[in-house]
Amino acid sequence: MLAAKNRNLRSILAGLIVRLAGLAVICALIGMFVQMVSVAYPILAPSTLAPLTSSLDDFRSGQLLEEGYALDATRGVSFSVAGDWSLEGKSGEPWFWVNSLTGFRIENTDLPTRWTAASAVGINRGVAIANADGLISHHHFLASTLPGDAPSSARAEQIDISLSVVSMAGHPRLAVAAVVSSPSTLTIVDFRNPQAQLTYPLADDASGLYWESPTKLRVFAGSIAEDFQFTTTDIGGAWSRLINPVHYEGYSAPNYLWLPLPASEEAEPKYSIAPLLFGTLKAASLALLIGAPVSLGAAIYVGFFMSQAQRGRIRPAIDMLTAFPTVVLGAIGLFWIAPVFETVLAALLGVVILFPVLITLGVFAMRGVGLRIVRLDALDDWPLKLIPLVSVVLATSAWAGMSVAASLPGGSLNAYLQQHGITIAYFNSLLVGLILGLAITPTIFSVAEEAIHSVPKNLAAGALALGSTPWQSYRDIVLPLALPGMIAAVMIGFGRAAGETMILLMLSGNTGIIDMSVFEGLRSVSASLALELPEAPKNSSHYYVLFVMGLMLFGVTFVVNTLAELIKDSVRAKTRGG
Amino acid sequence: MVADSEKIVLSGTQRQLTGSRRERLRSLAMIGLSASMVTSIILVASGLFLLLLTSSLSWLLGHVGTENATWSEKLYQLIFTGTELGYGVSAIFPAVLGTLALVILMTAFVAPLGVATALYLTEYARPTWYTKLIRISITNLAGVPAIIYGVFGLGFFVYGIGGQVDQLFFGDQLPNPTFGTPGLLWAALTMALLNLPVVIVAVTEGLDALPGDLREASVALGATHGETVFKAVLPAAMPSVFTGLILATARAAGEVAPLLLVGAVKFAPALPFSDRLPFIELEQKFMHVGFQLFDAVLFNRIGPGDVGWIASVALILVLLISILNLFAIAFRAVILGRQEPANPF
Repeated sequence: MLAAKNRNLRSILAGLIVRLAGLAVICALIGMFVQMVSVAYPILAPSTLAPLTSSLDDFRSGQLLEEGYALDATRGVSFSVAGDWSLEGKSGEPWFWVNSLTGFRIENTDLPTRWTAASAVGINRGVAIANADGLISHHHFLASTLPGDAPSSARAEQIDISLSVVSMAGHPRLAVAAVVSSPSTLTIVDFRNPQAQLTYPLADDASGLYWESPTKLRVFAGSIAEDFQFTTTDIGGAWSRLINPVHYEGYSAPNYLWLPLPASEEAEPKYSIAPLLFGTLKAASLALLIGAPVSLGAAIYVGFFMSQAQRGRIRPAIDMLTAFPTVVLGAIGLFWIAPVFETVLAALLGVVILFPVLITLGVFAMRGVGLRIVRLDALDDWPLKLIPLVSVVLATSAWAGMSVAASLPGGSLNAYLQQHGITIAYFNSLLVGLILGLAITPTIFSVAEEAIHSVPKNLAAGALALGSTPWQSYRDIVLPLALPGMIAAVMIGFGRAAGETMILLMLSGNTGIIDMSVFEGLRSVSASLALELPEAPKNSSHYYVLFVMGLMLFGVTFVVNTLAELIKDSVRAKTRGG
Repeated sequence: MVADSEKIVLSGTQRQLTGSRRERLRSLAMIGLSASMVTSIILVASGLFLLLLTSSLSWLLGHVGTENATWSEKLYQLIFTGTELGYGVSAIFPAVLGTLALVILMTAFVAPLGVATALYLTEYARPTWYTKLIRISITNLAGVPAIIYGVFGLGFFVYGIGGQVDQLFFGDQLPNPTFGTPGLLWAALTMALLNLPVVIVAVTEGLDALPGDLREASVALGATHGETVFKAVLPAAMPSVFTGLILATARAAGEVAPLLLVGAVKFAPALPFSDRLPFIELEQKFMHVGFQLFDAVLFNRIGPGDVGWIASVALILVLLISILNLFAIAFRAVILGRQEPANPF
C-alpha cells in the first residue's frame, strides 16, 4: 500500500515538474517577444515636459541672460555657421551672410525679415525664427559646394503656435525650440514632429529662457527662474521618421539616410530604416532567384521520380548541407569568388543561358545514341548517371560565357559594362545573392521535397496506367497538390535569406543606400544589428531603433513561417485521403 | 476524402493523358533537367569542399608562407601556436576549447528543458487548440533568424539579468561589469534558447511517432502515469532526443551571428576552463572557431599563407559539424527502423 502511494506521489511530482518546466519554456519563448517590445518601446514614446523643483540662483541667471541667451530682435543677432561665415539679422532689416575674415556681406533673401525672436537650433546647423503672430519657421544651413561661397538656407518646417512670442531658445543638440509667449505660456516646438507641441502654463509673464543642458530648461518669469525637465528621443516620437524620407539638417531635400553614428558629435543622427529593409529584401529576392529554381528542380526529381532506396541516400546528404556553416560560405565568397567576380559572373550568365539547352540536347543524345552505354529508361538514378554530362555541360557553358565576355567590345565584362556607365562594386548585391542562394538551396529543397513526396503515389500511378508520360503525371496530378507546399518552401527560404547574417556581413559591403542596381552593395537589417548593437550605448535612441528593427525581422520571419506552416497543414489535410 | 482524390484524377483527365511523341520528348527533357539540378547540387557542394581541402593541403604541403616549415610543424602552429604564423591570427586549439565549453554548457541547459517541454506537450497537456497553436509557434521559432536571439540575449541576459546580478553581488566592482557584459554564460543561454525549438520539435516528433499501444500496455500493467512517461515512453524516444541534441550541438558550433552580440572574442586571455568549481568560467569571454574564421576574414589580412590558414579553419569547422550531423542521421535511421514494425498496415 505504502509503495503504491509512493509511486503515485512520485508520478504526481514528476508530472508537476514536467508541467512546470514545459510551461516555463513556453512562457520564456513568448516572453522573448514581449521583452523585446518593452525594450524597444521608449523610441515610440512621445517627448515630455515636467517642471522641476530646484534651487534658484537669480544673480547667476541674470548674468547668463545678459551674456546673450535672451536674444533681442532690436539689438540684432548673429549665428556662426560653417567655415568663416556667420548669419546676422535685425528685425525689420534683411538677413546677411557675413564672412568674418573678409568682412564680405551677402543678403539672404530666404529668411523672414519681420520677427520677434530668433535662435540657433542645434550647433551651427540651423535657425528658428518666430514672429509676433506665433509663426515659427525652421531653416537649415546648407554648406556651399564651392569653397569661398556663402552658405545657403532651406526652410524645413513651419509651425503656428498662435501666441505672441516673447523669447525663444533653440535646443543645443536637436531640432527643437523652447518658446515663451504672452500670455504666460511655455511651448516646446519640435520641428521633427510638428504635430506634437508641449505647452505648460507659467505663473507669470516670462522674459527669457535658456537650455542649461539638453534635458534641462530654465525659464525666467519676473524675478524668479523656473526649471523644466525635457525628455525626448532622437526621433521625438515621430515614427514616420523611421520609414518615410526625412528632411535632415544640412540637406536640401527629404532623403533616406541610415547614419546613426555621425562623424561629429553635434551632427544629427539619422535613422531611416527604409534602406536597410530595402537591402534585406533585395538580398533575399536575389538569393531566391538563384536558389529557388535549382532547389525546386531537385526537389521534383527526388520527391517524385527517384526510387525509395536512392532517396534514402540522397536526401540526408542534402539535408546535411542545411547545417553548412554560413560563415564558411561567406569566407569562400570573400576569398575565392569576390576577387574573380567578373569571371564568375560571365560564367554564371553562360550557365544560366546554356545549361537548360545543353542538358536537354545531351539527354536526347544519350537516349538516341547511348542507350546501351547508359540506360536512361529507368528513372531511378539519373543524377548519378548524369554526373559526366552535367560536369561537361557546366564546364562548357561556363567557358562559353567567359569567352563571350572576353570577346565583348572592351575585352571584358567589366570594361563592357563600364562603357555603358555601370561599374561593378567589389562587394555587390549579385555576389551576396549568389552565396545566399547557395545557403538557402538545401532549406527550400528539404521542404519542397517533403511536399512533393507526401502526395500519394497511387494518384500518379493511375495517370501512368492511363498512358501519360512520367512528366505529364507529375505536372497534371502531383504538381497541383504539391504546389502550395512548394510555395511554402520558397517562403521559408525567403525567411531564412532575410535573417541570414554572416554572409551579408562579410559580402554585402554594408552600404546603407537605396539603389536598384544589382552591381551595387547593400546593407541588411541583420548585418546592421550584428555590427551596431554591440557598440550602441544601452538605452540610447540608436539602441532602441536597433531593437525596433530586430522586432520587425522577428515579426516578418515569424509571420512568413506561420503562413508557410498553415499552407503545409492544409495540403496535408487534402492529401491524406488519397 | 475519396471524392477529393477522384476530383483530382478527373481534373487530370481533362487534359490529354496519353503521351504523344512530343510529350514523351518533353518528359525526357524535364526529367533530365530536374535530375541535373540534383547533380548540380552534389557537384557544387563537393566542389566547395574540394576547394577548401586542396587549398588547405597545398598550404600544409607546399612552400608558401613560412618557408622552412614542414607540414607537421605547420599543423602544430595551426593548432597550438597560431601567432607564430605572423599574420596576426590565433591558434585553433583555444577556439575549439571555447566552442566545446559553449556546446557543453548549452546542452546542459537545453537537454532537460527541451525534453520536459516536449513531454509536456505530448504526454501531459490535453490536445486543444492552444497546444496546437503552441506547437506551430515552436516550429516557427526554429525558423526565426539566429541574430534575433542574439539581440534578445544582449537586451535580456547581458543588460537585464547581468546588470541586476552585478548590482546585487558585484556592487564593489561597478562600474566595471562582471556579469553585465557579454560572456560565456550568456552566450550559452542564448544558444540554448536558439536551439530549444529545434530540440522540442525533434523530441515531439519522436514521441508522436511512438505507437499508442506502448502507453496503453504500460498503464494496463499497473504503471502510474509518471512511470509510463519516464520508464516506457521516454526510453523508447531516446534516439529522437539524441537527434535533437546533436542537431542543436551542430547548430551551436556553426552559428556565429548571435555570438557577435553575446560573448565571443578574438583573443581570450585564458581558457574558459579552470581548476575550481564549477570548472567553467561563466563570466569570461571566450573564443569560437566560427567567430575566429569570421574575424580573420572580416579584417582581411590576406597574406600568401592566409588563404590556406582560413581554408584549414573552415575545413575543421565543416568536418566537426558534418560528423555531428552524421550522428544525427544515424540516430534518425534508428528511429525510422523502430517505427516500421509498429505499423501493421
